[in-house]
Amino acid sequence: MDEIAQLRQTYFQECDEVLSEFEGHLMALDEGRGNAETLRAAFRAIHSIKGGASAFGYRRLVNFAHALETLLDKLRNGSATLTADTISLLLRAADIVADLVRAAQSGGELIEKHESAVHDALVLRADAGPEANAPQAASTVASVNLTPAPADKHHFRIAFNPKPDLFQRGVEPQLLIAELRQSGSLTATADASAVPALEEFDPKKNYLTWTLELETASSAEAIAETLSFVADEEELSVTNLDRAVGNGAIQAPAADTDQSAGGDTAAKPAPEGVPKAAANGDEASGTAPVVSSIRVDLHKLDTLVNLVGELVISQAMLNEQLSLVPTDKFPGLIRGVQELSQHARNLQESVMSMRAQPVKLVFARLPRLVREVAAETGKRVRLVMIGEDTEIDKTVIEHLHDPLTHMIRNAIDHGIETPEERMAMGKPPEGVIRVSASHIGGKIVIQLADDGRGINRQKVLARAIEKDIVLRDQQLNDEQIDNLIFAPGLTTAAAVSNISGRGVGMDIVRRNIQRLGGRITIRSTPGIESIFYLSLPLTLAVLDGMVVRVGDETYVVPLSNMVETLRPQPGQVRTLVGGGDVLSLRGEYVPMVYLHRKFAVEQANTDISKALVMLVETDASMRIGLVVDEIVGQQQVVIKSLESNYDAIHGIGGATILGNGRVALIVDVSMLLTGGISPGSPLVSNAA
Amino acid sequence: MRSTKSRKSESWAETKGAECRVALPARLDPAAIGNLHKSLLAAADQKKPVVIDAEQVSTLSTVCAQALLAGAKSFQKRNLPFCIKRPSDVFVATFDGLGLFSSLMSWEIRQ
Repeated sequence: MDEIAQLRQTYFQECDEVLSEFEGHLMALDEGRGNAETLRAAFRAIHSIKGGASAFGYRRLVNFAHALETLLDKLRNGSATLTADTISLLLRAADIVADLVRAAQSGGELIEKHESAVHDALVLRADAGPEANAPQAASTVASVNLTPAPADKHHFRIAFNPKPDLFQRGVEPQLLIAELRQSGSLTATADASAVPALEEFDPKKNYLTWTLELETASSAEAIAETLSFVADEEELSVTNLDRAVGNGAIQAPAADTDQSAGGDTAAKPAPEGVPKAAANGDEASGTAPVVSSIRVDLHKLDTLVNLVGELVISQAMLNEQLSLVPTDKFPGLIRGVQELSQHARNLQESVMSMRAQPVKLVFARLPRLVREVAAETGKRVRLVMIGEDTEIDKTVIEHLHDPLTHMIRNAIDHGIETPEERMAMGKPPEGVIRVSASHIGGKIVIQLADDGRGINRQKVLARAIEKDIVLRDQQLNDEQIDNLIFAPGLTTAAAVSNISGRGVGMDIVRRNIQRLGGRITIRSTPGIESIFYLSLPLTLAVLDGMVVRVGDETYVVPLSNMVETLRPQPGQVRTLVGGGDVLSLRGEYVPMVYLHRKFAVEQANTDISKALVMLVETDASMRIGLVVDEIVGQQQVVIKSLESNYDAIHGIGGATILGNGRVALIVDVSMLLTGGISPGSPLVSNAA
Repeated sequence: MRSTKSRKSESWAETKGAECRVALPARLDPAAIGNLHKSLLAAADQKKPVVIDAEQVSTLSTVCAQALLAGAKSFQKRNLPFCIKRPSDVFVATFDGLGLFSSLMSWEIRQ
C-alpha cells in the first residue's frame, strides 16, 4: 500500500472513531449530560473530519462539514443557542457526515436525499443568531452548562509553527485560537516576518507562526488534545509556565525553528513582546505530551497475537515434558518454567487486550438506527446505552453490528407499540430500548431490552405449526416458544415491511452469534418487555473447547456448541430407512454423526453402547449427537487457521497444538450435517 | 449545495483616477484567495497608490489576511502608498484575533 493510501486508510479509521465520539457528545447534550466542553469536543470532532477531507480532496464532505462546523462554532461561543431542535438537526447532520465519509471511502457517489436540506438548515441556524435559535424557552436545553467550572488557573505558552501546507489541510488557525479562547484568557501574537512580497508569495502556502499565551483552568492534556486536532506534533509545543524553573521560563522545543518557510531559514526572532525561552529548562516536565497513543497496523498486531499463541503452545509442551522430571531433582528448573508459564499467560492476555476495543464503536451507530426506524414506523423510541466502554476483540466487534441492527429493527417494528397503543395500555408514549454490555465470567454479555408488547406466544406457536416448524400436538414451555423466533422462516408480522417481517432476521442473528462462538437467548414477559441476552467470547484467537478422543486421534469441540453429554442406553439409537442413525432423547429424534466415520479414523470404538454422545447445537439451531470414544477434558486452545497452513477440510473449523505437541482438529459442528439434512428441517421433531 | 460551485476568476482591482481601488467582497473565505492574490498583483502592477476598500468584509480567512500582508510588503517594496479604507468590524477583529493587530496598525487606515 502506498503512503497516500495508508494515510487515507488511517483517516477513515479516525473518522469512524471521531464520528462515534461526535454522536456520543450529541447524545450527552440531548440527555442533558453535556457541558461547554462537550460542545467544544463536538466542534473539534467535525473540524478534524473536515481537515482530513480537505487534504484528500473530498470537496462534498468538506462543504457539508464546514456548514456543520460553523453552527457548532456559533453554539460554543454563544452566538447560537442550543435547543432541542438544534440537537435534532445536529444529529441528522451527523448521519449525513457519516454517509459522506462512507461514500468517500468506497469511492462511490452518495445519492442526494436530505443533504442539501440539512446543509441549508445548518447555514440558516448558524446565521439566525441566538434569539432565532430559541423560539421557545421550553425547547432550550436548559441543562447544558456552558460555563466551565471554576478551577485553579494554569499558564501555558503555546508555540504554533505550522507547516506550509496548513491551509491545504483545511486548517483555519482562527478556529484553533477561538477554541483556546473558550478555555481561558488568550493573547495571540503572530510572526509575519516570513510572509514574502506578492511576487514570491504562494497563495496556497502558510508563512505565519504564532505564540499563544493562555491562562486557563484546563489541564495541559486538554490543551494538547485541542491542538492535536489541527496540528501535527512537530508543529506545536506547549510549555507550562507554572512549572518554570530558573529564570521563569521553560524551553519550548522547536519554538525557534522556522518550519513554515520551508526550512531554509535556520532561526527566526520571537515576536515582539514575547519573552525568549530559557535555554536550560526542564523540557520533560514542562512540555505536554501531544500524542499519547500510536496506530499500529492490524496485520502486525495479528502477527504478534500469532507469535504469542505459538509461545503459549511451546510453553504448554514444556510443561508437559516437565511433568516427567522428578520434582526433587531440578527445583530451579521447575520454578523457572512455572514463572515462564505465568509470564507467557500474562503476555497473552496483554496482547489480546491490544486487539480489544470498546463496544461503543458498535453502539455509536445505534442511535441513528433507532431514529430512522422509529421515524419509519411512526413510533417514539428512546435509546439508553450502558457499558459502552466494555472492551471486546476487534473481530467480534466487527461482526456484532449486523445482529444488533436486526434485533433493534425487530424490537421497534414488532416490540414497541405506537404511542396511542402505549397510552391505551397505561404506558408512557415513548418506548425505551436499553442496550447494555458487561463482562461476566470471562465473556461479554450484551443485553437488549425493549419495554414493548413482548412475544405473543399464541401467535408464534400458531405460525410455527403452520410452517411445520413444530408439530400440532407438541407440548412446548414458554421458553421454548419464545426461542421459536430464532427458527428459520418464522415471522409473525402481518405484512412484510422493509424493516423486518421476512422471517430471515432472527435465525441469521442466532447464526451470526454462534459463528462468533457465542449464544443468544430471549426472555419475554407479554405486555411488559422482551430481553435478548447475547453471550460472546472476548476473543476469537483462543477457544474454550472440549478435547475428545476418537481412536488415536484427538479433536476439539467448541464448548459454545455443547449442550450435554450422555452414554446412550440400549434402544435409544435407531436406524432410519435409507438414512443414518438417530438418538431418541426426551421425545426428540436427534441425528447422530459418528466422528470416526466422518473423518475415517481407524481403530475407533464402533460399539455404540461403549461410546459417548455429545449433544451439540449447530448454527442453524439444530441439535445433533456427536459420537466419540472418550472425553479427555476441557481446555482453552489457541486457534490456528487450517486454510492458511494446509487446506480447508469439510467439518473442520481450524486446528490447535496441544501440550503433548500433537495437532488436534477443531470440529465445525455446523458443517457436519451439510448436505445431509436441509436447513429447513424442524427445530425439534417428535418421537413417534 | 451552494458552496460546491467554483468561483469565477475575477479581479477586484480597478483604476479610478490617480489611484487603484481594490474593493474587497463580503466573503474572503479560503476559496477567495485566488481572486484576492490576482487583484493585489493587478493593483501593484498599476504603479499607483492603492486603496483597499474593506468596508464590506464580513468573513476574513487567515489565508486571505496573509495575502493582504504579502500585498502590503509588495506595495512598500515598490514605494506605492496604500491604505485600508473603512475596514469593517470583522476585518479589524480578525487581524486582532490572529495576533496581527500591530501589522494592521502600521498601515494607513482611512475612514
